[in-house]
Amino acid sequence: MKVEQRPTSSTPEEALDDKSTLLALYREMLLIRRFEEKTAEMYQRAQIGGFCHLNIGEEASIVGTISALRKQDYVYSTYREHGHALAKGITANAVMAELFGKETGTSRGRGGSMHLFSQEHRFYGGYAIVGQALPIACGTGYAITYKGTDEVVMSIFGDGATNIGGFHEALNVAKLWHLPIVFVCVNNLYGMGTAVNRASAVTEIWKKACAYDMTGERVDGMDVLAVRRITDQLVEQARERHEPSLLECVTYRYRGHSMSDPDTYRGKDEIKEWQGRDPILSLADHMKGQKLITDQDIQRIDEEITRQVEASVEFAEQSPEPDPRELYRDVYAEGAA
Amino acid sequence: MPDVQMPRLSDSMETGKILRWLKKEGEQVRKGEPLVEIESDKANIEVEAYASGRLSKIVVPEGESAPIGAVIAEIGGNGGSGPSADKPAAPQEQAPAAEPEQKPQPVTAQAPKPQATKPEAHVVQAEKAMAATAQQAADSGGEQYPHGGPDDRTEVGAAAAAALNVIRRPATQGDGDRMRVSPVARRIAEEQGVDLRQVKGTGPGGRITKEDVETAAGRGTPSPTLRTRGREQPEPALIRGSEQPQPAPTRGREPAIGEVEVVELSKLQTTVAMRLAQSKFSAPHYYVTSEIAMDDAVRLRQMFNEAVDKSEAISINDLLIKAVALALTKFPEVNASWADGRIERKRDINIGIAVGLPDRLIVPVLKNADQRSLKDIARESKQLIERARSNKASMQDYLGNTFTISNLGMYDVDQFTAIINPPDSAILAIGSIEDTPVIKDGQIVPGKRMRITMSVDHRVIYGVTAAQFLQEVKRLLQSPMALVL
Amino acid sequence: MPVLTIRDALNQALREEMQRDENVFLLGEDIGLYDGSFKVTRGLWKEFGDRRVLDTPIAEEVIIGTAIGAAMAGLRPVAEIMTVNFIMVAMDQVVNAAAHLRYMFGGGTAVPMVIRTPGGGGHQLGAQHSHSHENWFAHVPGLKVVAPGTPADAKGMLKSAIRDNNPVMFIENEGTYAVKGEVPEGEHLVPLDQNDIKRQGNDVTICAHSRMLVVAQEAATELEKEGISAEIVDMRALRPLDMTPVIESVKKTSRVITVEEGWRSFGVGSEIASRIYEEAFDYLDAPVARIGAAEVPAPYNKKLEKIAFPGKADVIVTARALLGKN
Repeated sequence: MKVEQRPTSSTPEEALDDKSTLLALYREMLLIRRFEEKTAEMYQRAQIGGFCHLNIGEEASIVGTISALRKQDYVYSTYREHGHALAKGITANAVMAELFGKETGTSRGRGGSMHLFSQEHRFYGGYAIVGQALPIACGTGYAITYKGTDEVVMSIFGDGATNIGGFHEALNVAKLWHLPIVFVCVNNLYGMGTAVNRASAVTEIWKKACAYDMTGERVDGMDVLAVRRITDQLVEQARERHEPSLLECVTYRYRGHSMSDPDTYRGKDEIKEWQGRDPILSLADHMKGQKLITDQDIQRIDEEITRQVEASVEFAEQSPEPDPRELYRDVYAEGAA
Repeated sequence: MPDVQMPRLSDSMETGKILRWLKKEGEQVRKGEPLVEIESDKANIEVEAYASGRLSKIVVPEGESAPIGAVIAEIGGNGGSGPSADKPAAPQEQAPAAEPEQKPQPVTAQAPKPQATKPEAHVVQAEKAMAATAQQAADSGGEQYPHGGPDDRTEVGAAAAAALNVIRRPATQGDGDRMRVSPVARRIAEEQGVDLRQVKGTGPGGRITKEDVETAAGRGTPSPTLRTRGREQPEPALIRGSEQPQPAPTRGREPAIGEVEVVELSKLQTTVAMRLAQSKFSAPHYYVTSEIAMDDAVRLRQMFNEAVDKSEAISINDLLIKAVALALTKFPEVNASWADGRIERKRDINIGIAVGLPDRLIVPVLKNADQRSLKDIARESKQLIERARSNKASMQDYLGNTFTISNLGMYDVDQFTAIINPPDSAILAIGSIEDTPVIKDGQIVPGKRMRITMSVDHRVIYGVTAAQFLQEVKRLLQSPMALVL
Repeated sequence: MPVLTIRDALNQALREEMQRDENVFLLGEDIGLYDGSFKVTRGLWKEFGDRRVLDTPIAEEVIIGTAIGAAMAGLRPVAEIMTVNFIMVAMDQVVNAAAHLRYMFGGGTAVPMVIRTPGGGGHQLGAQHSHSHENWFAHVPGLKVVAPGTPADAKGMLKSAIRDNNPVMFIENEGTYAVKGEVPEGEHLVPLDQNDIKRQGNDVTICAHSRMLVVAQEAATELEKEGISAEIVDMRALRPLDMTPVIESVKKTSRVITVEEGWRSFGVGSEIASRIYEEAFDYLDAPVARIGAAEVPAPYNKKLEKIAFPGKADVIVTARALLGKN
C-alpha cells in the first residue's frame, strides 16, 4: 500500500513567484469573494431564490486547484459551485444571470445556483445530489482515455461526499482504468450540519485514497500557493501518466451551509479563528512582503472587482426572463447520429 | 447613494421590525459591519451593511416595521476599502497571514463529541446547539427551507394543459356516424328508452351527457324532438314591452305526430346498424365479380342428396362454404383483419353464414370449415341456422368469423354487393343460379350460371389477390369433386 | 382539541411511539444534533440519546440498508431520507430488499420499518430537488405507501405505520410542514388503507393527496362561489389504494379530476382513472381529467416553475371545462 506524501513546499515547475501569476490568483479569489457577498445580498433581496450555497472562505482551495488546469480540462463540481464556475472562466454576468433565473444565465434560467454549466469552458456542472458527479466524472475520464487525448478531469466535492457509495465506486474505477482524474475534496469540516468526525470513520480524507492504491495528498486549503503547487503536480501525473489522485484541501466556509442555514452547530470562536487565516488577506500580505503590491493597488483592484460584480447584477436585472412558451424546450435533444 | 432595504431573512417573511439600530445617523459604516437588528417572523437577526459610507439617514426607526424591499436607511458616500468583508468588525486586529503548515489539523475543538455514554454529556452538547434553535418559532423550517410563495396564479398553467385538451376535443374526428355519448348517458338512455340519435349533445366536445339525456327523457314522449340547450325561443310573454302573445316563430319544420310510423330498433338491430355503418365507412370497399358455371356442382349435389338421408342433404351454400374455406387455405392473406394499422392473419378459418330474417340479420359462424368434410359442414350449418332462427344460439355461435358468405340466391337476386362483416376483410355475396344460354365449343347451349361478388377491404387485400382468390373459388366450384374430399 | 402543524404532529407521533416501544429508533442525516432538516425530529435526540436517534453520514444506501437489517432482527426503525430526491440513490435497497425480502424468504422474516421522506416542488429548488415519487413506490408489491395531508392524519398514520409490520413509505411534503389543523390527543391511530372524503359536494369529484389536498381545497372554495360544488377525496392511502370513497363519489357526480404534484404520465392519477373505468365506467359523463406537473425537469426560474406545478387555477379551470362552462 503506497501513500505518497509530498511536502507542500516542494518546488513546482512553474514559478509561483512572478507578479503576474500571483496577481491573477489574487484577483480571482477576490472576484469570488465579492461575488459571493453580492449573491448573499441579492438573495436577501429576493432576487435569487431556492437554495444558495456560498464559497466564502474557500477561495484558496478553489483558485489554487482550478488555476492549475488548462482551458480544455474538465471540471465537475457540486452545488457549492459559484466560485468554481468563475475560476473556470465563466463570466460573472452569466453566473449572476443564472442565479436570477434569466435566459442569459449559464443554464438559461432552468438550473439556478446548483446547476451551472458551460460547454465552452468545460465546466460540466453543479449537482445537487451529494457524490453524484464522481462516477460521472469517471465517465469523462474514460472518454479521454478512449480517444487518446490529453485532457484532465477535476472532480470537486466536499467531505460529506466521501462517505457515500459513489465515492468508493468512482475512486476504484479511476485507479483500475487509469483515468486522468484529480479528485479534489474541499474539506470544510462539515457536511451540512454534521462535523466530519461524526460522519466519517477516517477524518483525514486523503488517507481514504490508499484503499485504491491511489495517490493521496493533503494541503492547507487557506494557502492558495500551497494548493496550487500540489495541484500542479497532481494534474501533471494525471495528464502524463494517467495516475489519478485524491487531494484534500482543508478549509472553512465562513457562512452556514446555505443561505437558509441558521448555522447553530458551529461556535462563533471557531469561525473567527478560521477567518483569522483568511486566504485573500494572506496572499495580499505575502505579496506586500515581497514588495509586489501596495495598499493602493489593493484598493484599486478591489474597486475594479466590485464594479465588475455590480455590473453583473445590472446585467442580470436587465436580462429577459425565459419565455413560458419555451417551458418544454430541451427536455429532449433533436437529431440522431 | 446606496440604500439599505429590508432584507428577506426567511421565505415566509413579509415584513420585518427594526429592533435596534447598531449605528447612529451620521456615523461611518463599513461594509460587513453589523448595522441593524431585525425581527423577522422566525427570529431576531443581526444584519450587516452591504456598503460602506456615512449612515446619512435612518428611514425606519426602531420599533417600526416595514415590508421586504422597503428602504430602511440610506448610506451616503462611496465604498470603503479592504477585502475583509467577512471578518468580524475589528479591522485593527487583522491576524497575520498564517504560514502554511505541513499538515494542518482541522479545528475540531467545537465539534460535538460523538458516542457519549452518559446521557448528560450529550444533553450538554445539545443545549449549546439548541440555544438558537429554541428561539425560532414553533413552525420554523428546518434549514429554514426556502418556500415557494402563495398560490397566486390566476391563469391556467401547463399542469392542466393535457387534461383540458382531452376535455375540449371536438366531437367529430372523421368517424362519421359514431356518436359521442358518455357512458352514463348511454346507460340512462337505455333505461329510459331515449333514442340517442335524436338527442343533441351539449357536453364538452359535443358529447351527449347525462344531463342531455335526462332532459330528453323528461320530455316523456317517445317521438323524437330536437332540443338545443339555451337556444329555445323565449316565451312571448317575456319579451319586454309585449302584451300580446305572439305566435312562436318557426325554426324549421318538425314532423307532426301521425305522419310517420316510427319503428324503434331493438338493441340488436341498433348494434348491427352501427357496426355495418362503421364497416362501410371505415373500410375502403371495392368489388370483384365472377360468374361461375354451376352445372357440375348442381349435378354433384343431386347425386349426393339422392344417396343420403334427407336430414343429411347438402345445400349449394354448403358447397360454397367448403369451396371458400379451401380457397382460404391457399390465400391466407384473405383470411385477415385490419387492426389499428396492422394486418392480423387469422389462424383458423371460420365462415360466417349470413342469415336474413324478417326482423333481423344474424351471422352464425361455422368454425374450422377447412378441416370439416362436406357432410360435416352440411350438418353443422343446418344446426347453426336452426339455432339462430329459433333464438337458441349462444354467444359462441356468433364469435370468431374470419370470412362471411351472404346468399340471396333464393330470392332470385342474380347479383348484389354486400357490406363486409367486421372484423373480416372480405364478404362473398351469392346470387341465384340461372339457366342461361352459354357458348361451348362455338355452340350456344343452355348452362347454369351463378354470379358471386366479393366485397374487399382494400387496406388488407389488393386487387390481384382478390381476383386470384375468386378464381380459386370458381375453379373448385367448377370441379366440385375436390369439395367432397 | 389542540391545533398543531404537520411538523409538530409528526414530532408528537415519533415521541409517543418511542416512549411506548423501546424497539423504535430513528436514523437519518442531521436528525439528531441538528434537530432534523425540517425540524420534524426536534428535541428527540436530547430526550432519547445517540442510540435511539442515530445521525448518519450522507449515505442513503447505508441508511436504508441499516434499517432493513435492524428490522429483520426485531427492531422498529424509522429511517428518514432527507428529501425524496435522494432516495433514488437507495432504490435498490428500498425495492429489491425492503419490499421483497419477506416474500423471497418464504415469509420467514418481516421488515417492519418506516421510511419517512418529504417530496414536492414549487420552491425554486431546481430539477434535482423537486420530485414526487409516491407513484413509483405504489407500483411495488411488498411496500405500503401513504401520503397524509393534514396534521391529524399525519400523526395517526405515522403511529400506525410504525406499528405496522411492513415497510411503509411515509410520504411527507416540504410545502406542508407548516399546515395547521386539529389533532386528537393520545392514542389517535389512522388506518393505512382508508381514503377519506374531506369535503362534500355534488358536481365534481377531486382526488388529491399531500400538498395537492390544500390546492384542491382552495380551488373548491373558489368554485363554490360560482355554484360548482366539488367533493374532495383525500387519497392518503396509495398502496393499498382505497377506491371505495372515490367510486361512491363518482356515482354521485359523474365527473372526476385527479391532481398530483408528480408528473402526469404514469402518475397516481393514471391508476385512479384506470380503476374508475373498471369499476364505474357507466357512471362517467366524461373521461377522468388528470392534472399533474408539466412533464419537464423542474425549472429554476420562478415563473416557469409556477406554471409547471399544479395550482388552484388549474383545478378551477378544469372543473369548469368538465361542466361545460368554458
